[in-house]
Amino acid sequence: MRNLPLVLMLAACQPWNLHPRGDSFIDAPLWDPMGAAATADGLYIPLPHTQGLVRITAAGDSDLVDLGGAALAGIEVTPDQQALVAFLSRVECPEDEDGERPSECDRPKVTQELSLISNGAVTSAVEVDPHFNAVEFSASGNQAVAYLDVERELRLEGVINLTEVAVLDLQTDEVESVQVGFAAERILFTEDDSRAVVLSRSEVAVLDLTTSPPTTDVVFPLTLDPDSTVTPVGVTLTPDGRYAMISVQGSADLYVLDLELHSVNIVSLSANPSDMVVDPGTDRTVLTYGGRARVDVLEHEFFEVDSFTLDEPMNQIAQGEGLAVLYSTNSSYKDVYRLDLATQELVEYRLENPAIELVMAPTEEYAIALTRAEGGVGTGVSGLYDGAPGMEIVDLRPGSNDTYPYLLEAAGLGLSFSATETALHALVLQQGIDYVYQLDLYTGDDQEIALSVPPLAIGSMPDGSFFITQDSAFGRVSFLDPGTGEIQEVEGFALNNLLDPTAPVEVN
Amino acid sequence: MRIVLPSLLILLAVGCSESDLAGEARYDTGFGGDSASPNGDNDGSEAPDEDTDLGEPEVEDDFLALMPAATDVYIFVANPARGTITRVQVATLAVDTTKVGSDPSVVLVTPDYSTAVVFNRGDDTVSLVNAQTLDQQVVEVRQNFNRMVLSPDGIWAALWHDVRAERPDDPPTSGLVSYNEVSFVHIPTGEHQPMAVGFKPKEVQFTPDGATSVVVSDEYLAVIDLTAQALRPDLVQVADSLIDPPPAEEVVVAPSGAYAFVRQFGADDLAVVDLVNRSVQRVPVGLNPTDLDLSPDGTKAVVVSRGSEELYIFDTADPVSIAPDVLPLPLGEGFGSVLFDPTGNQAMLYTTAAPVDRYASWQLSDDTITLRSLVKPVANMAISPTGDSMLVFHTKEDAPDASTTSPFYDEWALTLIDLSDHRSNPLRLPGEPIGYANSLGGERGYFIMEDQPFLEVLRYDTLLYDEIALRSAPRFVGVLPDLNISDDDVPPAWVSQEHELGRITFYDADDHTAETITGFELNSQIED
Repeated sequence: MRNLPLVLMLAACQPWNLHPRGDSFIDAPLWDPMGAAATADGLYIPLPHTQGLVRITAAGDSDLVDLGGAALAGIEVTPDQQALVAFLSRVECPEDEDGERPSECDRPKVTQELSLISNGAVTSAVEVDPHFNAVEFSASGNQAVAYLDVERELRLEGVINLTEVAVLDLQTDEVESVQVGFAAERILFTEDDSRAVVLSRSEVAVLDLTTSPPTTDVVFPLTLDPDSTVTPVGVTLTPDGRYAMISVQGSADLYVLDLELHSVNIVSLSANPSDMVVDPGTDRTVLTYGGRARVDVLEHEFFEVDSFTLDEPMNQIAQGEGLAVLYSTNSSYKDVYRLDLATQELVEYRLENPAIELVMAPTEEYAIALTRAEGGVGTGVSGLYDGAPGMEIVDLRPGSNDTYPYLLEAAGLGLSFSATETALHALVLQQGIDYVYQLDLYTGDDQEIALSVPPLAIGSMPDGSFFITQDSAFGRVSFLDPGTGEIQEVEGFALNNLLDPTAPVEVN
Repeated sequence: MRIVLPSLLILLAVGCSESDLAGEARYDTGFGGDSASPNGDNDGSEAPDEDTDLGEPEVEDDFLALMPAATDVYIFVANPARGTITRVQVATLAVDTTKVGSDPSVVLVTPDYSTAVVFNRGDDTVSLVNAQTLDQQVVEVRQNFNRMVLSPDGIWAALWHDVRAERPDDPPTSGLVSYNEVSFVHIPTGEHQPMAVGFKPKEVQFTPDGATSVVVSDEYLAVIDLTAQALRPDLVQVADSLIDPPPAEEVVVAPSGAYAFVRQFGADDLAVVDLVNRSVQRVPVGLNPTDLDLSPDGTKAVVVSRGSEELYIFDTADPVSIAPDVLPLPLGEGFGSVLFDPTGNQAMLYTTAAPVDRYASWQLSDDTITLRSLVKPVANMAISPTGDSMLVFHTKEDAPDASTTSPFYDEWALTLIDLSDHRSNPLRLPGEPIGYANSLGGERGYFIMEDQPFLEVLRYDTLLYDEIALRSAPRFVGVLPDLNISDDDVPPAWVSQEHELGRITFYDADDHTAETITGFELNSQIED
């Protein structure tokens, strides 16, 4: 985004940040182009300076969401992309103090709400402890658990209980605090919303969400030695919801928790897994290792492992239905593998350059890898590839092990897909490049879509169009119809409430 | 063969085999060894007198074997380091772990499979655990015990201190220490009845009906009427002299419960104790008797007299009045041990006291004894439950005249033998065998080796083997009960392995699958 703080000549309008000369300095960006969240009813974008939220539609409309005087602290899209959950912070003077504005009282009271937002308006809200800064949703979106994620921005005030989470029933707006282990950090829901699995340090709590209020059904220890800490890092559930599989930091042990019989089994893996995914169709878990050229497939009846030797270690998995694509973000490796979980067929691909990111198309016929420049000094085609960032199409269709490399002008920053019955479009964002590249993977038709302002981020809307946030201080988003190439630009939405005297928060 | 008590003691116990006859209720001793020699050292750990020439004692026990089970629904695993036991449900392999006392070292199951009896040597208690609910009653017993056995009817647990079973990691003693005490625990009620018997009790046996128990020590056989309201020992002197008596080595009880036979080290006769009138008769058994066994049907008590190279065969119904049959053994072989096949058709004669690479088969139908060769000397022998096959575990040590070019020279080895024709398949082993088990149907045998992460599966019909990889070094091996003897399914074998949180693998020979459960000790800390 172009340079901020932006100097505005607004001294007459607002009393805050009054410069001695009378100028006002805005030291937070007006909008967050990297934080856009796509839902069915539009694109929601945080406005950091005013701590507000704006909704933009492909029709070119932009509406401020009425947050009821609260300040936006974060947003999450529900799994079905039908709504948004917003963390809203409210600072008020306590009842026993005089003063209308928080700055006018000695002990301002901070509260936080989790608000459900759809169609540009808050539809419901529940109060949660102010320190919660993350939320995980059940698959249906009816249940959620709010917790403190220490990896995110912290909002710590007063005494904080680090062993509890807040369980939200988004249907009834009820919220209940439930005790779990110390420092909860990962939460997973069973498919039927009946249980939530909460990972914390050295233990795992399972919450029964069918009771009112929700209760802790069982707590599994991960160690019996109080002097040792076992830190869970990855968790998946078997499709039937009976078993939770938990990988732990620095260990080749995979803890298999039987959520029904309340027992623990530890499966020994060949190394510390770097990624794992569960395939519901074949009822198997796929595990890869950053330090070992091997992929393990774990069945869920006896938890026995089938191992496949690879030529190079793969630390990432892109998941499809009955399909796993293995790749590595390590700059030393260029292999990609397609593992068919039904037939256990393993197909090896070779990229020209190491991958930064690989994204599977929604149709699972292709994947695209964004690759990094290797800095090679060779000549010819190899030298050309080595010296440049690229994009490589991986043909995942049965019988193929082809890749199709493309040179990029600059390093790829983002990749998004849009699929219809007749077209499969990919949109590529490159660093510092003023256009986005669109490619139809079915026809090979491609075009560079020029933009009036350089792009900053891209993404897909639920309706199949792309959105592109662009480098503009006052806000600029383009919606691209990949079928027609038509672009709808929306701009200036970050100024919507800048001059509004009823702006919700004080800016220090 | 080196016999080492496991430092990481994970013991498994299942119900008593119904084939155990003559009150030889071989509930696990807790030491992986024969009840007669729990430390696997010998049949009498005391060294022979220097001025006698009796040679090395025989090691005829099945120290490698853990108890097979006739039927049950659970297996119990003791976890000494955590003070817990783990219950594995055979049908579902569901696992539960529960706290017991400190350092549980022996866990046994009553024959009706209703109660797991756990001896906690760390706090001198016995936990009576309901096998279904895992509810438990804790009973304090006398201090400093290290062995426990159950009566055949599962009514009584007997505990005592066996000096031969002492281990380096035994809990330290303090204050007064007795070496004459035995505790009896009434399992249905938890009532504790302690008593003093002879010095250094060696073994506790029961009559098959469970009405009487005998405790053998060097001077006395203590006979306890278990039907009495208050238990008290009736001491029967078995040593000729109470001054420096010979160490008792073995006691067996006749199936009728009328007689107990006591073999003493260095004695040339056998003490036959009439358990009804508490009298003792001494019957001659040749020179240097080194083994005493009952025939599988319990009608014969057989003594191997290594010194005079004879077999003495007593009628257990009347061992005093009826003269024993005496059979000569092959001369110069030094055979001192006898092992019956479970059908009673034949028995094997061998020695573990010297590096002899031969054995003899004794056909009981006509008393013919045939001398046969082996690739190496014998450390132990085991016969499958059907009597069709035999395992011979060999010593690493070779016979004096062994060829140094033999592939078995200075190697661990095992020989599979088909007992119908004695054809064999000797196998060189990468490590020392530390445990074996046989399938109840006699189709397969299983064994494990020290520091070798494999379960070795022996197919007796072909004398071939399969190797199943394990996740870590094995500790104990056994075979699950057959829950449905009418189907053709072979019950799985299990192998416990080294893992700080517990590990056990179940191998199903029907479909060649192995399922491993690891970390079951965590279950005791699960908060429901």
